[in-house]
Amino acid sequence: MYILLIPGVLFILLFKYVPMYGVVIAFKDFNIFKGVFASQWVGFDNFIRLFHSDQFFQVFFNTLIISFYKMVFIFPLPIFIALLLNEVRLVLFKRTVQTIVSLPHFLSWAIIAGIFIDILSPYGGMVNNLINALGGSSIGFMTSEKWFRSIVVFSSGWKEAGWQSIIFLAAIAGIGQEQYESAKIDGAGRVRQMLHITVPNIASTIILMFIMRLGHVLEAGFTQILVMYNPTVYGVGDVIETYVYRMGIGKMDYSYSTAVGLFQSVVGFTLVISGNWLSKKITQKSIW
Amino acid sequence: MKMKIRKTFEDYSVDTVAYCFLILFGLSTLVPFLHVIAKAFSGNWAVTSGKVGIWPIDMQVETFKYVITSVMFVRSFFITVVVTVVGTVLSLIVIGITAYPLSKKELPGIKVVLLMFVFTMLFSGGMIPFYLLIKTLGLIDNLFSVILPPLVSVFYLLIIKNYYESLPESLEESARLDGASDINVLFSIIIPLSKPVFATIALFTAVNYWNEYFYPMLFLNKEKLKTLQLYLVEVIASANESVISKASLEEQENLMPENVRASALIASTLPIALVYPFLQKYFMKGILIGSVKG
Amino acid sequence: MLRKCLSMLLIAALSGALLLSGCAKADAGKKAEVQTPAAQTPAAQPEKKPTLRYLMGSPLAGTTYNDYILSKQLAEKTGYKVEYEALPADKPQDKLNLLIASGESYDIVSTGWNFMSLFYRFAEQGALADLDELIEKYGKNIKAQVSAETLDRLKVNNKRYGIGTLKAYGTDDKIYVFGGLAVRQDWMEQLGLQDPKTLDEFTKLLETIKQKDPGKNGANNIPLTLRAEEVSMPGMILPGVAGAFGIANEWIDVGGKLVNRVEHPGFKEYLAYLNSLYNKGLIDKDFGVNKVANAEEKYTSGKAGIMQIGWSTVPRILDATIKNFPQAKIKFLSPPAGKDGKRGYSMFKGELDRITFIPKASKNAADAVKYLDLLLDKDIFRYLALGEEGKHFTVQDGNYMPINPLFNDERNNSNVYLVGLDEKNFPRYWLARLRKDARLPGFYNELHVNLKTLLVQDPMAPMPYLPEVIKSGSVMAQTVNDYALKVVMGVEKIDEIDNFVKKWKADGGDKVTKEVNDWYAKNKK
Repeated sequence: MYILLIPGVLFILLFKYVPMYGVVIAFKDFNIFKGVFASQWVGFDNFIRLFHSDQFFQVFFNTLIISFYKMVFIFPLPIFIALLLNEVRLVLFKRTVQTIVSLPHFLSWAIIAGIFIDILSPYGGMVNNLINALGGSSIGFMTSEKWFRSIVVFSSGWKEAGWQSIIFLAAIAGIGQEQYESAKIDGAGRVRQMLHITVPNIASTIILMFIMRLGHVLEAGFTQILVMYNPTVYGVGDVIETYVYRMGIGKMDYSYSTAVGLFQSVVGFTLVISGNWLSKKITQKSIW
Repeated sequence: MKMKIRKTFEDYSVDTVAYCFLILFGLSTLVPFLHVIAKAFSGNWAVTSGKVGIWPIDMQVETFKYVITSVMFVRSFFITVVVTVVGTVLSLIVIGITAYPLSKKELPGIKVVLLMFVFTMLFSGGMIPFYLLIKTLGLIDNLFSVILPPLVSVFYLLIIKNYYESLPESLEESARLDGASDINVLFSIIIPLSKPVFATIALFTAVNYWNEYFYPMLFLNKEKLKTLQLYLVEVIASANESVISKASLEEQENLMPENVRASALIASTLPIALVYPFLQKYFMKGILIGSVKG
Repeated sequence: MLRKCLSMLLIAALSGALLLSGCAKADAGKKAEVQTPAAQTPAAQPEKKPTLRYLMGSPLAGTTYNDYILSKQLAEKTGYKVEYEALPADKPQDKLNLLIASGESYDIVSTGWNFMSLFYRFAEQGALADLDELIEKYGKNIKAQVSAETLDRLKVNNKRYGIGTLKAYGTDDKIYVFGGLAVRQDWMEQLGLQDPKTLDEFTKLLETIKQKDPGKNGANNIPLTLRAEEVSMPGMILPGVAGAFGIANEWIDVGGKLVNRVEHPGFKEYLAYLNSLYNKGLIDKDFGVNKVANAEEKYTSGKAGIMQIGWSTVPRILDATIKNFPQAKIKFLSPPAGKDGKRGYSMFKGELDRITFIPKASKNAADAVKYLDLLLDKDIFRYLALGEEGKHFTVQDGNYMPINPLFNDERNNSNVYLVGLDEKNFPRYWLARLRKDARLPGFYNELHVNLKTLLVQDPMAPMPYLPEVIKSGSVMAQTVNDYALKVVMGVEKIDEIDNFVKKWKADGGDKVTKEVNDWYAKNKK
């Protein structure tokens, strides 16, 4: 049995663990021309620089809250879509919708941002036209601190939910039909079948996905926010990565960006470990 | 043989909710895609002045034809297909095998190995040592530099492992009683039962290889070795704010017109987006039972 | 079924893999072949020219360098075989940094001026070949054609590490203007309006457009649209108007000393003025969000009447606008004058367009310089820039006229091949490029000739290596731009500008100001 592990383990040893020595540059003043080992040690300087930078706490808070919203509102969405698709009996309809809802995944954030800017424009954008028709006055959504986070969360859900639902659809496809048959004989309706057969059967997939999501809690969507935000919403929309990028602090400063990455990893890894532990305690399901 | 059962009120409400939501959501995701397609087939002026909705204005097909017949597109398309096919197949084989022992929680030491895999999902040594590794392996300007690094995706490994765990153990046990080896069990029982998850991971892996930008950008320098994403970024990102603001006057003049960019986007996105419908039959219900019996 | 599929895929994958390794080997074999003869008999065949590895700073639009016909033509003319590679379009600096640091042996690297800070970093780290001696030995054309001034711009610690390509377009005095405020002339005529001379008249113009709504846009009427970050100058929201407050450029000569616009009294008034326009609904409510495409869309679809644009893009904008409004006309406004008569568009004279250098890891540094020197040979240079007389261009009354489509097909991208210039003749060669589009000379002349007296030279255009500016200049300009945008959109209060200035000074403003002035004082002598 252990023999089967060899190819996989060799792979991650070579491509993941061999380059891992690179994390030491977070504790060095790395000079690319000198190389990793000849560069000067600086201890925790890079981390101190990060934590002491001007708006760190604001930015850290923004990151957490956007990430949290995404987890609460967006994480369940693909599960919901998969469950609904599962209820559809018309095969052609199901397949078509399945394909269509996955399409936004293939468009880049730059394009999606452009579309959202258009739709939300105060000059004849679709949403403002609707507001005007209902007697309200136009809102500059993209420049409004009140709306910005909602737009970020909503658009990310819209973009990825269909694609993510594929994983849950596959999990659903693996459920044995005999469970449904016997439930039907017991007189269970479709809602009860969904809640008592489908959901429990894909629970381990849901938990796996959720724990993995926890690992990326400090990544609130760099590319997305970078193309969507503007100076008027920095107060609510600036996250760790965009801040570091914009301030140019990390520009070719590999030590600094490694330090930022390491900080994110440590937080993420801690959450993954505790998430797994908690899940084991509560649901008896866990990744390891 | 299904019995005709009369629909209950519950059936109707579930259907209404499901169809309404899916139709609305589906429309919202379809429109942007149609919009890009419409742009690709519109006159450039109409795109510039924002006249194009979901139907082409001043319709023309020359732009699209120009894009898909250009040497750069054809060459990078071919390279990307090779990378995607080779990468996906190798990747499925390796993670399909690795996931099997990992799914046996009772194996001593397996948790440590699993943790070792999970660790790499979150920690990495960064770009520089990775670049040096690829350089040392002599893989710069070799397509394997793009195929090998993402080959073992721990995330997909976990999903497959998770799926293996959900399979009924009874099947495996009976095979083992017949004296089948681990490899035999894996290939003749476990994998055939895992079609839905393999179809999913095949799709995800293929899409990832297709859309991979970072590794080709880093490791492929030769103009002849450009992948589709490098090509696409050249066509599209040349019009990015950050690039334009630094481009000289003449470079700005030579920007790709917007309908060319839309055409390039469609020509390189549609083929991979359309892989999904072909894999969907492996998601259909009853596949598990069918394959057990057959 | 699945098994069959799988086995077929496997076969495909394996054969693909074999193919790949085969390619790689064949490639390596070729490389070895090229290198060995040169290495074995360097003395016996002195005329044997090595293949040069040439790295370009950005990919070519629509084709590759190796496929582009000009590459082949140059190889014929110079006798040098050149193998081109290009940096990616996205974050090219990061990649170049990696390539140079890991000792890739490129012979020539040629990039846009935006790689300047990286170039200086390489020079300081000792990653570049010192060109003084090589140019002395092999660079007779370089010395003859490129002015010492240009060559000295790329000096670091008194050594030359690069060859600069000057922005020398059109006029003999080599002035260069990016663009200006482009107005829908047909709207002005329709409303019976004169060109605004002063800021008050300019405000009036915007107000009239708002009231009379010549485009019949109703609620979507936008007198003036702009984008969040002006292309020519990060940090200047509306450069044409900034001139009215005496701050046409980032640095302003006040009594012989340079003052950053942030500390200039005009800055506060300027922001207050823009804020009042914003509050009155005279400029795009959404400009903080605008990308290039958004602003152009509003302008070409007839929602907006005025936009700040570069002159080279006017024909494209005009084409799109005319498709929507056949009677549309576009012209540049002269910059409006402020209360003390100050006005002007910014002008850059002596700025570099490209920089070219040779990494220390190059195995053929001498040949690289020889090659670059050949490119600057008077005839080859003209061939490179314009092509062959009678085939690519003709000369009429001393003016160079392009012969299209051949000129466009074979010389459209020649600008990225220029390493240093025949600085005396190039401005006139360049006019042939301008005449590619019959309308371009008109828009060019409006700014460079008609408004010539209203141009304000950017004192920083001929800037040499100033470490502090290089290090923090662009981030600081970005901070100023963000701040200005917030003030204009009413997110920050203008009264608190003193706090911002204080912070700006502490965050490096003082350091930069000192460095800039040290150089400025020395340079004037």
